Amino acid sequence: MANRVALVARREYLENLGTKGFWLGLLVFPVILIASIAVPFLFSKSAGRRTYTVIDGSGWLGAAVQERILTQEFTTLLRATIRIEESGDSSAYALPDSMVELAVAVKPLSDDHRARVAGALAGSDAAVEALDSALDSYVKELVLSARAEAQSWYRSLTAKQAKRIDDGLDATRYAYVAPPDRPAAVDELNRQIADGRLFAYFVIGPDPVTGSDGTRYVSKNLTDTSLRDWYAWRASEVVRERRIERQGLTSEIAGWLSAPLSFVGEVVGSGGATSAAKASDKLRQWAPAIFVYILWVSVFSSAQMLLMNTVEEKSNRVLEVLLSSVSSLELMSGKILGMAATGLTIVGAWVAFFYATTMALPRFFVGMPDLGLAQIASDPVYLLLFLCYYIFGYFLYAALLVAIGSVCSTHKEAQNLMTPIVLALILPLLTLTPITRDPNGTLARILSFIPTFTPFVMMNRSAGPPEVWEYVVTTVELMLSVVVAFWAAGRVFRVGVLMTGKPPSLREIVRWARASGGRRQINAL
Amino acid sequence: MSDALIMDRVTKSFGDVVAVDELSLRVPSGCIYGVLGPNGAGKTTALRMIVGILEPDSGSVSVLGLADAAAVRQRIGYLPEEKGLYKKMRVGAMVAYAGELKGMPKKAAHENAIHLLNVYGLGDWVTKRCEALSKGMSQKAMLLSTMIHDPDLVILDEPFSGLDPVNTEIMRDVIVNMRRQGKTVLFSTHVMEQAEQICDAIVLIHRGRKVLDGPLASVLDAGGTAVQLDYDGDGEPLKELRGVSRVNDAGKHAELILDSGTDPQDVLAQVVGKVRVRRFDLREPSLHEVFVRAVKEDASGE
Repeated sequence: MANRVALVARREYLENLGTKGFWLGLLVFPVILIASIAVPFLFSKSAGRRTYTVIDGSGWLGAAVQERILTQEFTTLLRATIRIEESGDSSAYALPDSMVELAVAVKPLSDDHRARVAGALAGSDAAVEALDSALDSYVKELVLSARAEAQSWYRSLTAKQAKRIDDGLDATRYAYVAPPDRPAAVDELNRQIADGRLFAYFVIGPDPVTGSDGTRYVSKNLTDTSLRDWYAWRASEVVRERRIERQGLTSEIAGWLSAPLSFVGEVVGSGGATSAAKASDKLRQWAPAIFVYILWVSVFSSAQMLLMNTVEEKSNRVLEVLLSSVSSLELMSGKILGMAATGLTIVGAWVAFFYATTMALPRFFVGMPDLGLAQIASDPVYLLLFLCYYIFGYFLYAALLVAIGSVCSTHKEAQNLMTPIVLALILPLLTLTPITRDPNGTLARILSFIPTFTPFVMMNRSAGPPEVWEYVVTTVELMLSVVVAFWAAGRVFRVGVLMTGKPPSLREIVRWARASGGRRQINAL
Repeated sequence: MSDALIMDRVTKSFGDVVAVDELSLRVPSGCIYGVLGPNGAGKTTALRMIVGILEPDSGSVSVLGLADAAAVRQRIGYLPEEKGLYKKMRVGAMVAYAGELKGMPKKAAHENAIHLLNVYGLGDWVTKRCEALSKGMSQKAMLLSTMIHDPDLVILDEPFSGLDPVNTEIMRDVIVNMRRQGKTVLFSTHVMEQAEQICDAIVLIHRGRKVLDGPLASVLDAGGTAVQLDYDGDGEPLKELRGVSRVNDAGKHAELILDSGTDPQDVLAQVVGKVRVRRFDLREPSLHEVFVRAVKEDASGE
């Protein structure tokens, strides 16, 4: 028996290797993976800086916003310069010497003080004078001597240079150009936008503190709102402070009033200690969802391939020839195993590719944050769960679909009979996000115990993780369902492969599966 | 061992339809045995039970001396009526695969497949894909798949259906050749002439029941006397001949069934006046006639 099953399985496997579907299946995931990682990355890399300008009807807001932006930028720059200086090689970044010197001087200062220094760098002499008395005169002097050079250096900074220094610099994305100093400035700017020389311009109304009258954003591209949001946020900050000042409060109090609270994300580790959240932690929470999705796609596509191949062989009349040599159960098992081997080959190739890619990615894309993809990809818990749930899930659905395939003579009939199964299969996808957010919630728990959903839902919950007894009970349940499905499918298959003509209804199929061996209904005698 | 196959009161029904009803038969070893009957008579169901694809509801089937068809699977070759090849497989690999499924070692199966394909003129196609074969060639390849493991009993379901004259002849040669090698061949057909030409023994099945069986010669002998007449002209007057009980008229050829005691000379004399005679051949009635008569008797006996 085992030998014949192996023969059938081997033949199926070898034949599958020769199909287009196999190679498509093999390639589709790597292509999607590369595309989903590389395209946004390359896109963000290649997207040019958005150049913008401001026509300031108020006479003060445009300059104030630029100063605010510059303050922010110099804060980032000082931090980056400290980092670069510490790493030793500052010459590669074309930083002005005075900046480096200043950075060394502010290194021991608090964030708050550094922000003041940055503000002084960005602003007027008054801002330098206003530097806290807590700062020693050496720093003040450094700021005064560095300011002019730093500002002109910043204006000549290209997006590429900015990116090398620090990804977070706004200079990597937006560049300010001075508006034309002419009465017909708007016409000139519109022309520039039409030519593509300018991305957008802002118009500030005469009295922004009172309201938004006359405030406009003009661009050819209104779908990409990042520049508008970015500028509007900073302008609003300045206006808000001015409004508070009008109420008779000092600018210091105004700044303090409008300063946001920032919550630093931390995660609780296994030992109960907290640590600062990294990008990889968030990804780790979502890793099961990614695994579920891949699981779903692979289970569904292998089972579907099996269905199509069964229908095709049945319509080719090849199956009855085999039935004199192998029993229908052997034939069915062989087919299911052959397709399982095919599916595992594809999934194995995916995992290998995923692993290799995540190892190699940082080499190709310098500056990409380490998401810990490789650790997730090679996490034995996830891999083991994935493998088990792939095998059980596949067996369950393969048994159902091979039974359906055996009673159909055309693909169209098969599609019709498959509709209920497809509808049932959509559910694990719909619950993907809710279960990821709440892996041990009631919905997740209930669905875990429905065998057709168990593989997907339990995989989904693995970040939770579920309790051990849940694993045990659902797995036993799933295995029993696989046995029952095989048994029932075997009965339907036995009748189905000999049948020609119109496919039976689902009710009839269920009756066949239940009926005792001797009394079966066949349309064709 | 004298009987390759014994079926004893085998019954099989599907729901309310009784496909095979108390069928008993014996197939002696080394003969060509025809299972005859009209479409829907239960021939395919009977063959499927012999091969073990279907289980009888009652009765027993003993193949090559064993009650379990699965146990002797390796010594049986079966070609169903609805048959096909794996389209994407190479012809040689396909035939060899059939052998491997019958338990042949891989190497032997491949060697034998290539040998058989060469013998039957498909040597150039060994490495081509099955979908490239013409209909006649793929029929041949399928036949080779059923005999690659050198079975003792070969069961063919409607082997002649859909074949052109050339391929019909090849099929006939293969069947006769198998008998020469000492194999037993059992095949079903609804075309009586084919059975008449090559069968040693037959069984007639109608509505799932055996109507008659036995060696071909004795089946035909029991039918009395008949005249095979080739003629030109209008055949209508033939029906009014004296001493003739039935006429099977095909337009250019007619079979006249004589009443017992009728003198063939008298019939000839009558015929000459009515049509232009090209051949007047006195012999036993055709299988067709035997069958029609048996079915009629069967129906009236109910």
